[in-house]
Amino acid sequence: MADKIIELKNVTYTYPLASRPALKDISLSLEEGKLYGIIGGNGSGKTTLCITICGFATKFEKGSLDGSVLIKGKDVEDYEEGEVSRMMGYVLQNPFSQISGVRETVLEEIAYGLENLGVAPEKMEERVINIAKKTDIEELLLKNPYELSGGQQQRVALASVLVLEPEILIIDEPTSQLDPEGTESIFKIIRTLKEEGKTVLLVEHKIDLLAEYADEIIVLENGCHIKSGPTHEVLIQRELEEHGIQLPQISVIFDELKKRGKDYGAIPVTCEEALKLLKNA
Amino acid sequence: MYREQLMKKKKNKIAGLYPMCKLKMLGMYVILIILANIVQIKELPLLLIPLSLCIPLIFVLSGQPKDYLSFIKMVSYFVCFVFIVQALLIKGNDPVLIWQWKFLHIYRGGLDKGLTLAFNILNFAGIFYWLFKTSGYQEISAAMEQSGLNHKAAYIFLSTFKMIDVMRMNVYTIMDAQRARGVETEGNVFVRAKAFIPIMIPLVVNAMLEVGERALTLESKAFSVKCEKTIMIPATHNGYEKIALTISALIVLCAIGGYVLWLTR
Repeated sequence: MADKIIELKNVTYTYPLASRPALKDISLSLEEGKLYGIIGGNGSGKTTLCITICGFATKFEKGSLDGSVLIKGKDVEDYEEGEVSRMMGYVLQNPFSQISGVRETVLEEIAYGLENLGVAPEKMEERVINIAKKTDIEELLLKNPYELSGGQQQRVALASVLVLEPEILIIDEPTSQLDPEGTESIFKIIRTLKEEGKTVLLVEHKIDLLAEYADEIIVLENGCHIKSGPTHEVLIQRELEEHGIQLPQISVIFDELKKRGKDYGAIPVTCEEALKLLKNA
Repeated sequence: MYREQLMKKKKNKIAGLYPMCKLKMLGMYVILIILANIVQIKELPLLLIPLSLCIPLIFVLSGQPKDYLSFIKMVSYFVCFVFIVQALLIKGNDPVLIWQWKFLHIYRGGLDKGLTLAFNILNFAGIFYWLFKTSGYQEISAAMEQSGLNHKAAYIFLSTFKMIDVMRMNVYTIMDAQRARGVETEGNVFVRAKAFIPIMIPLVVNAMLEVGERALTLESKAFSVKCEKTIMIPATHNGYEKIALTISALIVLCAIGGYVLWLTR
């Protein structure tokens, strides 16, 4: 069994001036090297969970936190300033806000984090070019980050965090402004990260893609952790639809067929699984 | 290879000076402005007028005369307005009439105020405009950081200036959005004034909301990590800094000498 890299113990978080907590008594244990998909409706606490894990919830939002968040066994609050950002990368939901605002080209924007880590300029360039190739933005390197489209900014935002080579990546809706092709390419990058052994927490509404790429799914509703487990196990549970969670279309189709007497022996969550079942039938 | 492109040195020797050197030159120019304000000819700060002519000369020597024209286009109305208002409305403690036409009067006190304000604006704004036109904000910030300025202070300096450009872009986005909702943003002064509130409110609210996210962005980019910071595109010297500073210092010394002579005349 892989090591636990993130642990949440009875975490309740309330934003300043809020009358009710945004996260309620959440306990989770996340293993190293896995890709976790976080799903839930709007206002379910997905982003709050992300910033709580990063330690930003108490540091910047100044809300009240009960319980504890452990990163590699150490409370996130006990880490020295900046230590968490060395091992944990956070890609925000809004790519426009992810731009530092102080660099004139995409090249420098991506390098900004490396400058903050004191990396030598020559090495910086090498690392930036490598990550730009990986995220398919090499042709944008000399452009102004503010002049890019939303999708391009999203890639730049991802690249500027990936370049820091964090062990843990928290990515909040990285494909919200991308077309299907762009979305697919981002997921390919995320898969590469998983293959490199990184722990990835991915907030995403595109459930079909999560079904394909995520190892485990965490479901939130109204700040409560209502379900979690291996992707396949979670995404075949039709009762999740009552909580406003959209299940993969393929699993819904197969479940409906089963109800109508056409049982294929299992409920798939991806097209690939469905094809295998159909071939074997 | 990208760094080389971005670090390309400017061809003009003055425009390509190290930003800190330009800052020192700016400081020396400020001394000249102060001296020109003190030295009074016929009880008027007349030296400010020839001094303001040095600004176009500096722009021309820096190979950017077009930038001076755009500067003059920007400030001329304001400067003229300030001069006329001050000259026509102020009498001074001991009114000495210099010029009169029908109901219009210009007294020495008013002329003094008008000249002082108008030409100080031209000189101060002109020299700062020259600095920012010949060195980018990022270049100046990099030079300041290389000279030992704390990286947080450098960020504040840079983001303050950059924010102007970002907000300008946001205004256009908001204007497009409001136009799509039927808000008239073009037309006479009254139409534009009516569009002011639906544009300003989202602009300010967005800017305030972005502050929080910007903090998260910086933290996720290791901003608070305690280590020696590096700069990918550092500000570079072009080798003419010593000459430029020596010439500037000589000019200032001559001016101070002239001032001492004027005092002891």
